Amino acid sequence: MKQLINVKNILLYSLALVLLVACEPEPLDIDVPQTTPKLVVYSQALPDQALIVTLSKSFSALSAPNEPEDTTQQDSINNVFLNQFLVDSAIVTINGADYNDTLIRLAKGVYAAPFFPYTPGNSYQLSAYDPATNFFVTSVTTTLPIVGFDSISANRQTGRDSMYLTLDYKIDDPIDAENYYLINVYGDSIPESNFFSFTDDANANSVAFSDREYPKGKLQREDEFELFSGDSIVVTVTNISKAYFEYIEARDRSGNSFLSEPISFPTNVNNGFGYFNIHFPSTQIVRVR
Amino acid sequence: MFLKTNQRGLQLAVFLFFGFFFLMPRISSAQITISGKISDQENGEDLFMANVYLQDYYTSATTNEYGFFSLTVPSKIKSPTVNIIFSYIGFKSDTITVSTDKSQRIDILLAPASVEIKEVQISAEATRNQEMVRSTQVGAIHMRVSELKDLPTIAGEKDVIKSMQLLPGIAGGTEGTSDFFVRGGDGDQNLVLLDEATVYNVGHLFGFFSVFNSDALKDVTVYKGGFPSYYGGRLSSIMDIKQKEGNQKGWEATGGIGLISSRLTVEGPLIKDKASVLLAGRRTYIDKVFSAVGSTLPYYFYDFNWKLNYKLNENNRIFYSGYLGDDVLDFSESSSGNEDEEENFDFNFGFNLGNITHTIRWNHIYNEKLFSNISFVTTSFNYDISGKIDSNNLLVRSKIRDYAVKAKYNYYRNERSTINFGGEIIQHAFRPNIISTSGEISEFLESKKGQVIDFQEVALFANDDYDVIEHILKVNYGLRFSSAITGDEFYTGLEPRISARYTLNEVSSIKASYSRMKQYMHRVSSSTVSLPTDLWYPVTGNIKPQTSNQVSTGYFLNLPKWKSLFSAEVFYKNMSNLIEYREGSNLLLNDEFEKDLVQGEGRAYGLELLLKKDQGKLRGWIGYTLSKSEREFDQLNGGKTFPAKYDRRHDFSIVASYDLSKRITVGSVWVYSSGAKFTAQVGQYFVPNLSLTGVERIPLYSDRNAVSMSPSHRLDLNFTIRPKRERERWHGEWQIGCYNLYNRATPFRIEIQTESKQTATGEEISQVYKQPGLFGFIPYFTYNFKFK
Repeated sequence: MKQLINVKNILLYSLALVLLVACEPEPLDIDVPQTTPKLVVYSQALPDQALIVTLSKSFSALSAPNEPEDTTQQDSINNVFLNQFLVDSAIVTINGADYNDTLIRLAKGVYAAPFFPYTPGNSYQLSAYDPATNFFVTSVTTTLPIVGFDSISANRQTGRDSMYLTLDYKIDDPIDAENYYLINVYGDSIPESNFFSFTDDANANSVAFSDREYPKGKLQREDEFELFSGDSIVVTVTNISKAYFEYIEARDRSGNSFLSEPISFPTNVNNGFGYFNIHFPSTQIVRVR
Repeated sequence: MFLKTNQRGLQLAVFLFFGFFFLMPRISSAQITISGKISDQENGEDLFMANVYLQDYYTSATTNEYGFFSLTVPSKIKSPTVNIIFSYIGFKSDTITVSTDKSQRIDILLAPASVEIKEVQISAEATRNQEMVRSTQVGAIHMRVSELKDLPTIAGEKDVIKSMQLLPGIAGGTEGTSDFFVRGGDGDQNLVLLDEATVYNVGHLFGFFSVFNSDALKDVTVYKGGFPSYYGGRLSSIMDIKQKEGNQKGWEATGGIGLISSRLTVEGPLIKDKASVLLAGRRTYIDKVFSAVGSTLPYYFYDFNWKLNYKLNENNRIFYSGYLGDDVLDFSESSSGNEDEEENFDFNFGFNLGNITHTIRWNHIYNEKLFSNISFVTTSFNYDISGKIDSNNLLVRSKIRDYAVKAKYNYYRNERSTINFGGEIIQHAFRPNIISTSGEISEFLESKKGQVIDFQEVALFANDDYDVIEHILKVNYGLRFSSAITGDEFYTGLEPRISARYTLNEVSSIKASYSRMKQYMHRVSSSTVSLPTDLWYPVTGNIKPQTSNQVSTGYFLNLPKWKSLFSAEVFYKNMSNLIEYREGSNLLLNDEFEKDLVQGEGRAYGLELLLKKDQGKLRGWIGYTLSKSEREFDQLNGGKTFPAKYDRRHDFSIVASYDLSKRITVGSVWVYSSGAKFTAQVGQYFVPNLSLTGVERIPLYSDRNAVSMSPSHRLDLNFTIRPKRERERWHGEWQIGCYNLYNRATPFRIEIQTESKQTATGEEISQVYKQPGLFGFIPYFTYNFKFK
């Protein structure tokens, strides 16, 4: 019996020794060619018929901000990192049947057309040129009709779930083709920001969906949001194109999760990335019950 | 109505088919036929692909998987007697003189050849090589498991599947996975059978070890192309593994004590020459090792094989075999009695993954020309993942159950024609993603019973192996009718199979084949990594059956002077309705997978070279594959053609064993493989979020699978050391070796890592691409023994 125990001990310690001796191989280096930097376009029409266009540059997958010792500084470090990729001195023009103008620089990387006409069905071409990098992109989009809420109510859940708010709403969904919508919900007012920075107090949510699973003309939904608010919230609904919806879906699906599939993002920007759209939202202020 | 009518019609056809052949009257002819079984004299094991040939005549036969042969004496032979030679690699040949006045049944026992009797071994090997040249089979490899004993492997554990991956045309996946890829196909396109039961998960510890205990196995046959009509259900390969029957002559115990696991196999006669049993068990004790050094690794695996074999009479034999194996991980940690209650916790994570198979088989010899094997098979595969944090509990469970009846008949019509026919019915039941939650977590993740998916596969097949021009042109032509019934869907397919051999001269031939294959179930895996918890699903109304068409041609040359066989094969395969996940799909607990699946096309082509030598002091093979495999999906990669993940342009292996002396054999494996393909992140950009209240970082990826990882190469060594003097009843040997002698990483992914370097100006931190490997230099030793 003693011999058996000794043999067992020998085996166990031998394996332990082997495990110590066994080596983890050194990872191999590899040079992966990076995608050529390009201009990244994003746009959003605001309820007061202003149009915001943001411009930045894509960059290497190997670029990353430093990690600070004090994690509360992460946002400001991220903003410093972000700033180097914002395009500050571009010439951004939009041309269409009822608008031909150069956008105003609002902030670093942010350009605006303060009064943009709402003409559903009109097409507009964006041209953006950055003299610093010689990048030039164009894009075309078509304005869709504004769609509003037929009814909307907001109820805050009680007790432990008080941070959750249920939004019950009905949209005037046109009966013709398949339609796509983007809902934005703001816990306070629509924040005044430079639209392009890391913030740690964002209190907003978004959801995008199509009407294909709903009976035509009657799009009624209930969504739950994690949202802090006072007595009221601001909700916008935007009628968006199918292509833009697919871009939003792709952004939702993307991630660096080990178990997510890599994704190639659609774009309507020639020679660039991102998405240019002029879809005007309809806004509603809703009391929270 | 249409479906129901077709189902009834199909069921009736199957019933009539089986009933007719079950009740088939005795078939005889005027020709003389010598038939019987060839077995191992020492233990009674049936010998598959043993050779039987008429001396001085160009007429031969081989035994089927159950050791049965039937050799028809050509009518042109007028001699009153003929000599028949029986031979098998590693055994002494036997020659028997038989009279040609009547058909006879002769059961042969061949004795294993000792090391000294080299001429016998060489003769047997020459015959086996000759048979390889003569047969119509192309794209097939047959090996006895004992031939793999001197090859080095990870941690000294013999692995049938990893050994097969050293042959041309069969590529391994990433290290530590059990997936393999045959002629450009995908990982779920390989059917692995253990005594005719499907094995869904073929690796312990995520593929680090095989589920197959080599001590319990007899032989393995892999078909990469030229598929016999008996096989179906997968596009790319069939790996048919047979367990030993159990020693019918005397009791023996075989085993091994290794660093990672130990195994013991006991086999022997319950009734001598009539009934035998084999029991084989294995368990790892790596969990105990970690405990011994004061650490924790709450993981272990075990497996158990068994076989009972009963000879009712000369013409009837019953077998019952099975396999049971489990991977178990059970980690617990808790803390209680703290002053600060928030520091109290109770955590448990567990994982249980297992296969169980049962096979009941009946061999029946109707007469000298007709043999049947009828099997009743069940397979059960399930995994449980459980987690507990304080009062929150989560259990995810998935199950597959298969019940099958298979019948295969060999009809040895005459000296020029052998007909095989039969059918199978398989009932599959899937229960994926059964979720059970309690506690607060149940508010986020509801319990669900999961779908119950039943589907049936029914197939009928027949083929004829026919000598068109005697000794010159032989053709094997056949047809498989397959079908799948799932929900309201009824899919059918005709799968023609044809292969031909044209003899150039005594030692060489050229062969060609065409096979059409259908696959009615698929495994949904990530494009980046496959896991044993990936789920199998059947075809549905939206997901169509996969189909492949493969043509191949080859040149086969027997080199008797060098005791070797050389083959060169080229193949082309196209595949349709292949399955991938939509871009951006999240795979975790995704029960609505169907909407995330897309189907597309694929093609693969290549050249395979093999030089194999099985006898002499130096044994082994050199294999090389040059191949390309690509895919095309409308919804992936912008519709552009892209490489398959394991599109490895070059694959090269040198496998060698050399007897340094009577006591010491050195085995080595050197493999080189072009890098697998990867979709790497090659850029990123910032964009405001949809509410303009923040920023999102969007990754940019290369075209799908556009980046080639670095080639991998590796050297493994093994020394087998036998004692100076063999004892009569106890045989022992040491195996000492190492995996990955020069510790080179075999890349399995590309990731971005942070690297810091000291420069003149201080510490510089940068992001770089790295390709990690899993296993480096791993030494091992094992003591193997056999006691009679």
